Amino acid sequence: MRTYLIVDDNPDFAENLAEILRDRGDDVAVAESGEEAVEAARGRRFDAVLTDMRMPLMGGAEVVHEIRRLDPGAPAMVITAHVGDDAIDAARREGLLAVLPKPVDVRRLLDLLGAAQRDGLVAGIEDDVRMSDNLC
Amino acid sequence: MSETVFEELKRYVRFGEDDERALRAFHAIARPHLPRIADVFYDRILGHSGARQALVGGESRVGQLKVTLHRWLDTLLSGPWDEAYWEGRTQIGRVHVRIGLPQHYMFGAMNVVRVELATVAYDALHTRPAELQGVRNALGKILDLELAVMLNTYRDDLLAQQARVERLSTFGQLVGSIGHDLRNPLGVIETSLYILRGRVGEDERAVKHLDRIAEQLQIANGIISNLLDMIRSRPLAKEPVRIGDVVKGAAGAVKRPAGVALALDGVDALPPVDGDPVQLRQVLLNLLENAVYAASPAGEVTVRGRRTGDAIELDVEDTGPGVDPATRRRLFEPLITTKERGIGLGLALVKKIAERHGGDVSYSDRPGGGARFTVRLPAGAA
Repeated sequence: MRTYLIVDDNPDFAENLAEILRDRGDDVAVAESGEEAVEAARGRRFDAVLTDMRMPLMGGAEVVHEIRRLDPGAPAMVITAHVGDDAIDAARREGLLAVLPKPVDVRRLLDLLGAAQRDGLVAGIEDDVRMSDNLC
Repeated sequence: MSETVFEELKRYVRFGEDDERALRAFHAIARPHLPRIADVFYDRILGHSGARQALVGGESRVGQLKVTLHRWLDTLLSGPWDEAYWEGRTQIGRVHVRIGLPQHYMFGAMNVVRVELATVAYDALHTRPAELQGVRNALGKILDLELAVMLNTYRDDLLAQQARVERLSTFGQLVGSIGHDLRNPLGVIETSLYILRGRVGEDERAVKHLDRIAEQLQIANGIISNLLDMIRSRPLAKEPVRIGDVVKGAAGAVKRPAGVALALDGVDALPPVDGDPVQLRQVLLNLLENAVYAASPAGEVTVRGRRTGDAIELDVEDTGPGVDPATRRRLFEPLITTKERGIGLGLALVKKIAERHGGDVSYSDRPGGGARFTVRLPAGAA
């Protein structure tokens, strides 16, 4: 059983993803803001962190940065409706497993989460040409 | 009361009563020469292929234009040079802009008038130098004022274009942010759909509707991607596409009132096209929706396909009112619409998609009434 952290200021989307993962027997913590996410990451290790990019107050890149300060090996993925954001470069520099566009391909997300290894930095960043076309 | 533009310009060049008198006196002398001057003028214009292109309609059109020029020359020399005169000249300037006459041709044409009138003046008045000088001065001033009017109308057009570009850019940003915002609720719907699939089991009707929702989600996502693509300009993914299938798929998706008939002709025989099926579907959807709207409540819409050399052509025709000449020139610009609803992006998107496939779209009148839009696309590699 793996444990994931989902960070998204859209609670319906976060809850849906959490439900999908829990149905598969995994444990999921949900945070609706960067601040909540950092709190959740204090004293707890996640097998992967999945975060939205654009959130008020603390964006996705910052979330990854802050969590890595507490837990340097945590694999991180970014989901965003706003692909093409400059902040994605900032996030990438933190070392990401993937950048996924919304609406998300659930199967692909599950594969990536399942394959996420601690301290095993950077794997595929969207190798689907049409998708990566979206990554500005 | 503040000065009008014309009054201001007349003040700058010092066009006054002496000049008006001189012009009127010259008018009597120049009148018999005016038809000949009109001939010289148009011979010169038709000598330039670029200017020739701006004059559609052939010889009878030129005949008409010569009559108009004759009248222009007549008024030039007889006045009255009042606000109505200025307004009339402005209208002519707007016609030049509307037919797309390049500005430098207008300068060349003005010069013909200047030289011809100067020659007439010299021939008639060279033994009366004071009078000749008076006429020369007056002619110089009035022709400069005419140039000013023409330049004004070109400038107005440029400013209007600028305003359109600005509106578009704001619009583009708006569309972009709407498109992005829409992806959020679509993301929720997609993930809820995923969860439902796992719970619905064998219930056939439930599964059918879940599939339907999934398909519509794809379409919605496709539309958003198209919108964002249009704003950003990006290369397309290309695959062999059977246009016949695209046409039929789009035709099935467009709501038609019972009185509007739809006929397809020759679309199945078309060779495949290298393209993006989602975008090509959008092209057909937009054209068919427009055609059905135009042909409603009762009429016909026809889609005709044919191969021409290494391209395919698709005509989408309707028996509606057609597109009036004034709208025709701006038809494929964004934000042009004659409908009550709709924001006028449809044809702009069609044009953009066609061009990004290496093709184009054009409008012509349907013989017998109505509109015909022709999409040309390069045929795919065999």
